Amino acid sequence: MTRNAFPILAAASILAIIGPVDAASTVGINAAIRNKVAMRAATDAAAHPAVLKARVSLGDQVQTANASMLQILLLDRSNFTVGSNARVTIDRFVYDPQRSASAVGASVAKGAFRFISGKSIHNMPGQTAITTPVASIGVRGTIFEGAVGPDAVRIAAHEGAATGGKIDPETATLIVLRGPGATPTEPGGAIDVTAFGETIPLDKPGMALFIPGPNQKPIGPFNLSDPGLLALHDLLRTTPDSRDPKGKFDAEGNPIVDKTLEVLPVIRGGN
Amino acid sequence: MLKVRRIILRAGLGLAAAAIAGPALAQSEQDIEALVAESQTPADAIAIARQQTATGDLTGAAATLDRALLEDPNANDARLLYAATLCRLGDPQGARIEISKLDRQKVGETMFAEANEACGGTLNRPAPADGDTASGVSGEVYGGLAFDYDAAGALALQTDFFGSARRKSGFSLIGGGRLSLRSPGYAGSGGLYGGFSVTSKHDISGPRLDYDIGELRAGFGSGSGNIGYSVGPVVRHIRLFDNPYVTEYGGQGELVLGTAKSNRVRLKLEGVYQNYDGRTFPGNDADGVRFDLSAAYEARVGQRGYFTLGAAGEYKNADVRSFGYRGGRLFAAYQLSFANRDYLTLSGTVRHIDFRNESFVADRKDTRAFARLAYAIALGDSGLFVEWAATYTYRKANIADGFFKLRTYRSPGAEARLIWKF
Repeated sequence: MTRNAFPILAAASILAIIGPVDAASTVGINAAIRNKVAMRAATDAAAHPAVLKARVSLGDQVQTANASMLQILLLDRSNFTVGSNARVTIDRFVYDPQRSASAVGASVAKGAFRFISGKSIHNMPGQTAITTPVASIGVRGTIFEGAVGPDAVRIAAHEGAATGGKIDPETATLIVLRGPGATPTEPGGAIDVTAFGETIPLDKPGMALFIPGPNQKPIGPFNLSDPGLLALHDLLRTTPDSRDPKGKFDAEGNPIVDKTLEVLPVIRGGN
Repeated sequence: MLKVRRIILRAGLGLAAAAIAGPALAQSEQDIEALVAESQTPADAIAIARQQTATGDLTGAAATLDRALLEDPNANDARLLYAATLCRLGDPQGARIEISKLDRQKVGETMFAEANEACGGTLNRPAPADGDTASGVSGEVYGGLAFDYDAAGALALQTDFFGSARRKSGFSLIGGGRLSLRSPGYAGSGGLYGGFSVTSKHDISGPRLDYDIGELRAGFGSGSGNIGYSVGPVVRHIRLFDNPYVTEYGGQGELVLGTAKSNRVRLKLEGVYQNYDGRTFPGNDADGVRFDLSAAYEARVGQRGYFTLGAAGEYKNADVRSFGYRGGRLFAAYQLSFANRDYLTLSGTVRHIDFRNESFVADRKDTRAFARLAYAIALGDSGLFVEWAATYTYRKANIADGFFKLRTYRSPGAEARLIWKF
């Protein structure tokens, strides 16, 4: 056995320990599906409707339609929610159940998303990252959400953040840290957003960052307002149906068209 | 050499661990399958989330409840626990927004108290569902200004002798409101309801355009489950140019079929006797019975859209036969609420009436239409809105030629209203 063989053997053993997940290996399951969601396997050109509890494999691409959502529960108990009009791929997943250590990599080409990291991500620090066309989000154990594309521009514009730089409505990215907040015993969640060579940490719930497009500096951080967050919620969460909306309106009401109110034929030339 | 041995030892341990990792991954797969299977219903999800919270797995609890709400947006208890969990995770802003979605929903007191406690008592109680409180009061009041391009013809069927019926624009003050009251049992097994509404328009420039409409209704009904109904008397009084014009009294009944989910069908029947004040001389007596049967389909569109599409049939029998009619109408409306509580409304009605034929009276058929496009800007969370609207009103009779012809009425208009919804 040569000296060079030892590092190779060592690396192979480490990979074996942490359970590398190759293409077609299961990384999680479809935990909840709302409306129209399609999945395309890395090895199959055709998209198929997503099925509840079906396995999700490395490289599977998720595509959602309007008002459609999918929650993927990963093996390490991380949760990835894919919101409306999105295209997302889980393209890296490493999990060692024995060490309770994991790392996730996903790319969001467009649409809204939310990531809730499992506890095991803490034990493989610096290895989990979500990428968008213009930013990379390094995860330090946390909950965050965001949007890529026109929705990001719309929400950022409402926040007054889409004012500088050259906005690309296809790739513009909005990222918001949701938590957890720091407690006396636990550090808070945090993410590091890297765009155009600049890395900006977000470490307080509600902090947001907007990246207008490729080769554009991030704008922020700023605190996302309630209407901004509600707009993001609409893409990622549901709202109860309402039998009696507050803005109740009468579809018919107009006295001049309605049944009783008219003066019978008279000559009225004005006043 | 010692270093090489250490590496070999570690590699050996690694390979040994690899043999364990495969089954462990399989076990993880089974675990998450079981977790999803065990949290399929909102009640199960709540139970699982409570277990996760008890073990300190707050992010897991949030994910479980998130899942439940994706599957069932009407799981209000799950939403309340979700709000509590968000607060425990240091996200009171997210919790506030989840609570705001529960306006006019049925909200359990205990669950709300738990959420409010988790959020340090900072949550506002969601607006109650109709009939959920002792008073069960809801309604709106508005006032504003209207412009009519053809105010001259708004209320008058103008006979057009050689083009004598001139169009003339005008501004009016508009005001009104509605008040609905329901007894506590209404949302359950059944209860009493009452309602009062007023619509008023008075000119401030241009032709006379004054009317006031008041309606009072009451009865018994139920709004729970998949079938809702109401039945009771109704009285309506209309004043025209500050004088009594017509009083209607009779009854109305409504049947609503559909769940508390997205869609429902509403059937409504109204039968009233119309007593026209001051029009009792021979040949001008329009007193009679009027029936109106309508069916409407109502549905949610997306997260914040809501539409109504309906049709109605009408029948009127008057003492003077030619004032009776048969008719029908189509109506539709769409409302889109925005995240900041602003809303956009588009509504329209097309109505066709075929008056009854009588000797020496022209056979009259009317087509009438009304469309309104409105955008309301919410003034914070106060329930106040400033609404801007564009309107279009149209009326055309078939008596378009000859000595006695009715002028076609076309009037674009605009409105600005300050509305308080409560």
